[in-house]
Amino acid sequence: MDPQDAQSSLDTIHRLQDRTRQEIVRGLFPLPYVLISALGLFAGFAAADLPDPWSTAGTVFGFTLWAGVGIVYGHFASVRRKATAREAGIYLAMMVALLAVFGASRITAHFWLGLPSEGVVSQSVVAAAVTVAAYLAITPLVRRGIKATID
Amino acid sequence: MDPRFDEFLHVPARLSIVALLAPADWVDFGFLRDTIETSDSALSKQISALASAGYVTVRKDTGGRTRRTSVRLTPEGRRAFQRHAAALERIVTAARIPAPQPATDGEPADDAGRRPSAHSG
Repeated sequence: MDPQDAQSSLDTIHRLQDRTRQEIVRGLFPLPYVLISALGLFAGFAAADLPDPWSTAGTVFGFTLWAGVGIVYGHFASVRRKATAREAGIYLAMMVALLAVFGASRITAHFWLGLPSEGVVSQSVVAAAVTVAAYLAITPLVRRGIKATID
Repeated sequence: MDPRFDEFLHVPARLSIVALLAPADWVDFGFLRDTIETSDSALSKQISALASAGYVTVRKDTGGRTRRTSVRLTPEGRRAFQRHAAALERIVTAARIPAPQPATDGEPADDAGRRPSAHSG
């Protein structure tokens, strides 16, 4: 085996491995997925101020949409890999951060803005909108964090 | 030749397939075909050879109107690929290490590369 041929083979191996990694990253948070999941997130959080059973129904629908669209997109990706513990940790941290944003926004809406707990512009609706904005803002950061875990 | 060098895996098409599979779990047949730029039949032939060697597993999902074929490296395939890549690295590294210089004054060097002293005797 000629060393130049060996080096050429190694270059090909690295190039193709990078191509697979690029495809994995390309499947992380594509725009249609982000928009649909943001809608689910908004519905799930905004339903908190609705009277029962609409509150429960809205919350279940919203968060099922948010999680479900991710599962569907993952299933139909052309390159799939098992989530690592680090990746699961990143997603968990994102969810905790969004819950914190929602909680803080709702409190602000109540005590600072004096918004009511029901109606079109309720505390939860405003807090849900702020949470969705935060979700859209941190999605590139989460994508970058997961990309760093792909070896 | 390094014993870990795998002639079977070193066929360019097979090496390309295995390199694409290495960072992932399941990879679609279409992605492999489009990235390697080959035909369905040529790719099928190489994947069948890899599967027969126990290096890959093939899965066919027939749910819905379209059939979806996915391929994954087996643990044995992954080990074989890593061994082969390591063998290639060794070939390249060995070529970078300069060979010891031979004696140039007509006196043979001993096994340690030392030449007899000019003042011996």
